[in-house]
Amino acid sequence: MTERLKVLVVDDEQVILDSARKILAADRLQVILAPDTEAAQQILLSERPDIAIIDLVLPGASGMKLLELALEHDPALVIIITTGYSTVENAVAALKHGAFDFLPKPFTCDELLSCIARARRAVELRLTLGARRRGAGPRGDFQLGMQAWARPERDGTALLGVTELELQTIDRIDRIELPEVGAELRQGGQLVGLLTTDGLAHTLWSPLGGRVLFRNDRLHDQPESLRDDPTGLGWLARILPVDLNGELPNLIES
Amino acid sequence: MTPKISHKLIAGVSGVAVVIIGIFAWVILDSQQRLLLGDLERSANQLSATIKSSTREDMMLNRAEAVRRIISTIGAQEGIEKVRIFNKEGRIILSTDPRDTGQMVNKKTEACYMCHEADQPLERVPVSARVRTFKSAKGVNTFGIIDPIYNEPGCWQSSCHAHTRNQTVLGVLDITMSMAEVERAARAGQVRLVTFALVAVFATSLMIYWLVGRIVLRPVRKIAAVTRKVAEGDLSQKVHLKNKDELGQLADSFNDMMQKLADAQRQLLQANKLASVGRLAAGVAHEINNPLTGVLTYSSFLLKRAGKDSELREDLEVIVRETKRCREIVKGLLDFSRQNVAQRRPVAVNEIVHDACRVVKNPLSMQKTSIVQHLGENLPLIHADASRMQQVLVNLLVNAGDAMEEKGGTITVATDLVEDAGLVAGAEAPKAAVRIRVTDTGCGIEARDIDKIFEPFFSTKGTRGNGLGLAIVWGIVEGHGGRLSVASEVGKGTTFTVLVPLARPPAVESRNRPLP
Repeated sequence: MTERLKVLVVDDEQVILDSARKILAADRLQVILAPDTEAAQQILLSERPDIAIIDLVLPGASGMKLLELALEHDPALVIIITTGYSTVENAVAALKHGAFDFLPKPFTCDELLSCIARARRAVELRLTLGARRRGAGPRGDFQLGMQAWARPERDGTALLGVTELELQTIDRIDRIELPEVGAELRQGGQLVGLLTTDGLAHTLWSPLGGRVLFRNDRLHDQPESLRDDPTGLGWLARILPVDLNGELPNLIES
Repeated sequence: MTPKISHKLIAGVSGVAVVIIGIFAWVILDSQQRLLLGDLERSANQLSATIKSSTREDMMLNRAEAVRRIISTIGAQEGIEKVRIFNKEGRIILSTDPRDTGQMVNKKTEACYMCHEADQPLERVPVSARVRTFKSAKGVNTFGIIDPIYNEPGCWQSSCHAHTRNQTVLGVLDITMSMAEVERAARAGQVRLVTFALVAVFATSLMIYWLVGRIVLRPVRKIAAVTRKVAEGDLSQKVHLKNKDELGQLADSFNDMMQKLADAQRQLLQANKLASVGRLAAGVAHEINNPLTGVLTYSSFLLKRAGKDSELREDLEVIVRETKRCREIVKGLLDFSRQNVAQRRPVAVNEIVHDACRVVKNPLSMQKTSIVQHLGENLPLIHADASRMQQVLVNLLVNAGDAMEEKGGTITVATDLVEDAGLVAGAEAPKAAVRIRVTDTGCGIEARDIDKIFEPFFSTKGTRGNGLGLAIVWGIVEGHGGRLSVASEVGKGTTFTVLVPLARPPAVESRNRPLP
């Protein structure tokens, strides 16, 4: 890549801004920092960044407001939301409103870089907001952001999987970490871990909360077969949703 | 002063005693009076018969002086007021009081009225109709009896020819006697009776006072004293009564209530504690996240930049690992603070136990620990959030595994039905509950620790635990309306008992649905 991508980081904690600058600059990115929404808005207009990392809890207007303004201004902007675990619900809402991904605090250097790596690909794909939100699943599916899909079935269970779009943003999959049968998933909590050949570890967030009934063990041996039919045979887990009616409205309906 | 039970009871009982004894006394006095009057009547009648028979001879012979003498002699006896004889016209022809002689008696008054009421005078009158009582001129109650003197052959055949043959009644003998003596006797009886009645009422009151004090007041005071102590906040108080009566039952129910109240308070306290810890945890977690992010990003960035064989690498790895541990603790705190969202429906306990055992089987077998399941058959469904109940069991099983230390051992999971679990639930809820017991053969819990194990942040595992496991278990069980208890013996093992209420029967569940 010849042109350096611009990343805007918005956070009210100086230590996070500093560390983000160090890590992202080392990753060949042009980093712009903003301590609040006001400064961020100006930078959005003047610098036109490709990627924005926005903390949901900010002084002044909330990160959610900033997200809406930013997407209004530039629908192709790839936004990563950072948030504490205590506000995962807000992060899920941000994904519905067009955020690309979210990164729970505290995060490691690698977690940030994995997230950025996917964001880079997304920028390269030049997807508009509409295309991102439409996703790639069949009708009747529900999506958490553009990453994962959920398919409620008539027997009360739900299938969970990864979207084609998400697969386009990651490298070849080396290993897939499926949840244990009986494990308890939470909406916005980890569904699977995807380890790719570029050495990155990507976390896929679960679109629904519930107990894991079955997992697609075939993917353990052939993780790349996921790409053949991600919305069909490439399902990841079947769960018993804990609060289907409460959680579906947080998702994007295909 | 507030009226006391004893005073009210004494007043009531005394009132009743006064009325009953009063009526009783009145009846006795009345019959006594009747008896005395009857006696008087009889003796007056005898007296009049005596006068008649003793004067008969002189009457026949018309010896008026002799008759007067006899009458005067008899009339002078004590108690006899007057003896008079009237003729048919009502003229007093003879009297012990010389002033009366020759006077006319008004037939409309006194003794005459009875027979002369009708125009035709009656001739034969019963004794009861011939007597009368009245106040004499001296104001003394007086008793009078009249005795008609009938015509007989000797009278009209007598030589004096004072009477003709066709007369029936020739005159009337009238005797009046003072009632003073009788009344004195009656009054003496009255005084005796009233005295007795007063003594009886007083004695009854005393007895009631003593009985009320012994049977009612003493136990009531005991209960009141305990109630006061309870009101001051000491819920450990108990009423000790030997009574088998209603007060004994009251004391028993009171003790039972206090037991339940103390339990409820303990549970409420624990629930409040958990809630405040939850809020605190959420606040701390939120505040700590940002600095933790700084540490984690810098350290992981440094680690990434450190060369493969850098001296620093090992140290940096420690920092990153420990910071990640902090992250897990914060996550645990947040899980703990949001555990109250539960999705409950009827579920089978044994299924949950199966699942939980499967989850922990592998790690436990590495600790040389095996699980034995004694699951009750045909257990009714429980009203629970399956995943939370599984969390409860997994936590208890992991704890049990940890209690075995390196030696290993056996964990027994048993389920059964308890008919009367005594869970504090809604009135409609069934009394029965399903009991899950997790028993280990591990090190046991010290007696001084047993009250603290459900407290948040209490841990005996050192760095291996965050001290939230059992607090979470407690919170979940409590949130289900169930109860968690523990029994332990150091060196022998520990049993955790979970009681979970049954799912409501369909009849109750469907009550609010419209009819088909």
